[in-house]
This record gives sequence, C-alpha cells and structure tokens, in this order.
Amino acid sequence: MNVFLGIDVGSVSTNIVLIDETHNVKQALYLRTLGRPIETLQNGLLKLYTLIPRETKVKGVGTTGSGRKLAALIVGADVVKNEITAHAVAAADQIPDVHSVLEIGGQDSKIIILENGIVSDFAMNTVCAAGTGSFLDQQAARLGLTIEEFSKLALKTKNPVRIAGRCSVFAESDMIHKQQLGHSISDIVAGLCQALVRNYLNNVGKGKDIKAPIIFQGGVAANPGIKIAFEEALGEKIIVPQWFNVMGAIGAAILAKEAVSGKNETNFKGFDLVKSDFTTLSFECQGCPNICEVIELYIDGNLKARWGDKCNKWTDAIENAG
Amino acid sequence: MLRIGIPRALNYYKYFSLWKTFFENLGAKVIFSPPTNRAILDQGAKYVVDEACLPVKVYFGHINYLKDKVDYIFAPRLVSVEKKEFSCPKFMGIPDMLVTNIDNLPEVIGPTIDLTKRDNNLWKIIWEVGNIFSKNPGKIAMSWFKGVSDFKKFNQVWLNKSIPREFKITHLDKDPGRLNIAVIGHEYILYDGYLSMNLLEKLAKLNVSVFTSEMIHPKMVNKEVSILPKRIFWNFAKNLLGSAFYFSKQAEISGFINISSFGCGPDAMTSSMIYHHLKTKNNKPILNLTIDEHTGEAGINTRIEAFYDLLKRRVG
Repeated sequence: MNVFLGIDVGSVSTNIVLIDETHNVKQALYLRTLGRPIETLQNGLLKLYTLIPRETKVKGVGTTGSGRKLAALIVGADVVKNEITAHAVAAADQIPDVHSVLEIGGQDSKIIILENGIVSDFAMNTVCAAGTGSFLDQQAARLGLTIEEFSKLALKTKNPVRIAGRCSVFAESDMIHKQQLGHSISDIVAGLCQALVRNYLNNVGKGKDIKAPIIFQGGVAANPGIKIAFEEALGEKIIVPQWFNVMGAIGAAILAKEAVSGKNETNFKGFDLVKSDFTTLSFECQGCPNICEVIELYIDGNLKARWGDKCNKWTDAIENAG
Repeated sequence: MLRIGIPRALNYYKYFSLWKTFFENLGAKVIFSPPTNRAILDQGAKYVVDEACLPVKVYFGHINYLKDKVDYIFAPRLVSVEKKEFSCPKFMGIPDMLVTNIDNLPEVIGPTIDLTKRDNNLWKIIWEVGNIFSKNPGKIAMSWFKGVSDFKKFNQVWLNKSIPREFKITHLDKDPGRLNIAVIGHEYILYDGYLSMNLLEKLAKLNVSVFTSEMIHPKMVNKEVSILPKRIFWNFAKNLLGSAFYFSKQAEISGFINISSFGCGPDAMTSSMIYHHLKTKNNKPILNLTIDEHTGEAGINTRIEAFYDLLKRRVG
C-alpha cells in the first residue's frame, strides 16, 4: 500500500498521520511535544512503524507547524509548508465547500476564509496568545482538573458567568473573583469558554466574513464547551471534523502527495532514522552586536545543519560545505 | 572638525540625505549610528519612557550609541512638515524625552520644525543651526540649497518606484512576472531590517516586487485622501492611507501587507481604515503584521509564506 506521511510539529502537540492515495487517514498520532520536538518525533515514528503493515510504502513526506524546518531536516521532507496553507488544504479536502476554518491550537489561533477551495483571507493572533489552548491548560491545572474533565464541565452549566476575555491575566483575576463569590465551577468554566470565543471573534476574527459551512479544528476543538459557545455567538452550526486535532498533519500529507506526483521518488529517510542520534547544540555568535542564538543539528555526531543567525554566515557555511 | 551625530532611526529614513549634505557642506563631520541591532534595542529599552513604541525605543538606543562619539546630537522636534498637518506626538516630544532620560548627553541640537503656518521661521532655524558650524551666511545658505537638492534627488529614486540603495536591501532586482505587493508602513519600520525582521528582503527573495508609500507623489496622496469625510491631520497616517487608496486601484497590485508597531496610536486607526477600504472597495487581500520586541522570526515568516501562497493561488 502506498501512503503519504504528514507531520505537524506544534508548540504543544506533535501530530503524525499517514494517508492513502485517496486521502483516507490510515494512522493518526496526537502526541504532546513536551518541549522535546526531536525526541517526540522519533518516538512517534517508532510507534507508527509498529502500527502499520509491512508492505506499506511511504511515497512522500510533508512537514508543517512551528517546528516544520527542524522536522523536515530530521525525516527528509518533500515539502515544508506553513500551517495556514496546510490547515486550509486539509479542511477543503474533508469538507469541499467549506467557507470558514476556525483553528485554535496550543499557542496560536487562526481563521481561514476559503472561496471555492482557495484561501481568500486569513488572520492569526498577533503578539498576544490569550485564548489559546495553553491558557485553557493552565486554568484547568489551577482548578485541579485534567483538560478532559474541564472540557466536559462547561456542558453542565445553567448560568455561565461573565469573564473578561481580552487578556488572560485579567480573565484569571475575574475567574478567581467569581469563584470567591460562590459561583459554581461549571458556570465559571462555561463563562471562560464564552470569553475565549468572544476574544477570538473580536481579535482574530475581526472584520472577517464568517459564513457557513464553518469548520472548527485544532486541539481546542476537543472542547465541546467552546464549540457550543461558537455556535451561540455565530448563530451557525459548527462542524468539528473527525480528525480535528491532526488537520495540519493531514494537510502536510496531501501537499506531500502533490509535491511528489509525477516523480516517483521521495526524500524520506525511512523509518530507520529513529535509530539515528539527533542532538542539537546552540551558541551565541559574538560576531556582531546582534548576538544571534545559533542552533546546530548533529545527526549521529555529524554536523548537518545550522540556523538562527540573522546574517546567514553560519547557515551558508554548512550549505556550501555540501 | 566638529562631529555631529545623527541616529539611524525614525525620521532618518526620510531626511538623512538633506541633513548629511547640509552639515557636511558646513564643514562638520556627520556620524550616523550603525543599523539597528540587538544591543541598540536593549539599550534603548533601558533608557526610554514606559509608553514608547518600538521605533522610539530604538531611537533612544541609537542616541545612546552616539553620545560618547560626537560633539553634538541632531534630534529635531518635528512638529509638522506640511501645512495644517502634524507628525506623531512622540516625534514632537523627542528632544525633551532625550534630555530627561539619558545622562551625559552631548549638546542636543533640537530645533522645532513646525510648518503648519505660513510664517514658519524655517530660515531662522537654518540660520541658527548653521551658525553653530559656520559664521558665513553665504555658506549656510549654500549648504541648505545643496541639501535640498540632494533630498529631491533622493526622493526621486522612490518616485521612480525603486528603493534607495542606501537601505541595503538585497534581491530587489525586478523580473517581469513577479507578484506585486504594496507594503504599507512607516519608513522607519520598513527600511530598518531589524525592526521589520527583513520583511522587504524576505519578499524580494520570494520574487515579489514591493511597492511602498514613498513611491506615491504627495499630490496624488492628497487627492486620494480627499474622498474621506474629514481631513486627516496626522501627516504620516495620511501618507499611508492615501498611498493605500492609490494602490488599491492599481490592477497590477495583487495584495497588501500592512505592518505597524504594537502600541502605535495613529496606526491603530489607519490600519483599520485601510483594512475596511480594501475589503469594501475592491476586496484585495491584506495581511496585518504587528511588530514588538520579539526576536523569534517564525511567526512573521509563517504569515508571509501563507500570504504568498494565498496570492499565488489567486493570481495563478
């Protein structure tokens, strides 16, 4: 069986999927990155290898997410794409007439508007990461709940409380205040869901033409409370696709299929790469007052790549060396 | 020879050719601070008032770099450069903010330049500033005229739809068939590679032809903004709006990038007006970028790449 591998290395999760020639998802892994993208990726690939039949043949690899360049170097990618394009491609593939894609991930949130399957407008959160998955994680931890329990609590609400959504620091003080007044946790959690949605629509979604069909994807889409809050705020049905939390990886896999079409070869290094040793080291370049943090990637002890320097003198040195 | 220091920040990007020629013809040695780097930003953030935007922080860093290397610092108070219009409030307070926040400054030459009224005393200022370096009235007048002439030549480069080579932006050589993007933002952000995270160069590397506000003649800008119900008296904001309106009508411009600094008052208004105009009048895609003290470029790269993909797929 021929498959395409899609990898999305995000701030919070690393997602790996395998799709077949007709874009059916064969395997999907959602793993917490835990600040160790390389290790997580290696473990993920190893796990994937044990799950697939022997005759499976990887024909192409695509990477996306904030760690896309690192992942591409490690696995040998055929295409490296930004997460907006990847998410849009996956959404349009799953629901062909999709108009609006709401995506909330670990540390960023985005909105993508499509017309006839082509992106016509998009926006991402600016300097502020308020109202993303990390914030929900943090608040769940503060209430002593797992994120799964937290997300279910919102459904039990009778009377959601009003919480300031503009800034997560203010939201937290509001939550503490409401909790000391005696409001139930479920009402507070539901209020938080509404605040997050309000913040999203007023910032990322500001001025965007949000029309049905609307897809809600990204890790935060696992929260039914947020989905309901979106439906209330927009007055439209919200679709959470089956593979909502790995859509970026699906998009990367589809793009990989497009990239290798007609040339029957892939840059994929094969599953053996999990046996290799990947080490990154970093140093501060003292060549100029910018003091860039340069990162070096060693594969089995050999220096294979460098990045992070503004002037590219370290990057170029490696590329010129072959 | 007296040394005069000019910070490579804020109004440097518009007026450096005028000032350089003026002071050099008066016999002074002009010293510009180097292009912005991390050390300059760090120092600026240390000395600046709390509410300043990133470009003003950087300006303070440049002044700090120059202070021990020169006899004078040139930091004019730019109140207005066009009749009945004003620059930004922070520009107006620059000399005061400098002397109250940085110790051991050399003498600051900070004339108030206010062209709002007909009787604007510009010659009096030229005379006073010139007098520091030369007592010869003929020489002062000649230096000024030479400065103005160089300033006009410099502006002509922009009006010819190219980016002055003094800003050292590489990969700009234009081939036909590239994507055309109008980049709307203050020149002290756009042409400062550190602040803009090399936005223009990144676009050039993607084979994009960049068009900026400075490339539009002031008369055209004034004509474009005349459609607004109320006159815009913030000069910089007017230039951004007018040029964005102009570009929005040009068929060859496929998209817009609007870049502004976090905490910029006038831009909060103009960004939103530009966005609204583009959406309602001709529905051209626009990408909003906000800069602050971040050093991670991943976020800005992702947005640029995604926007490029969007335009490529639309244009075909």
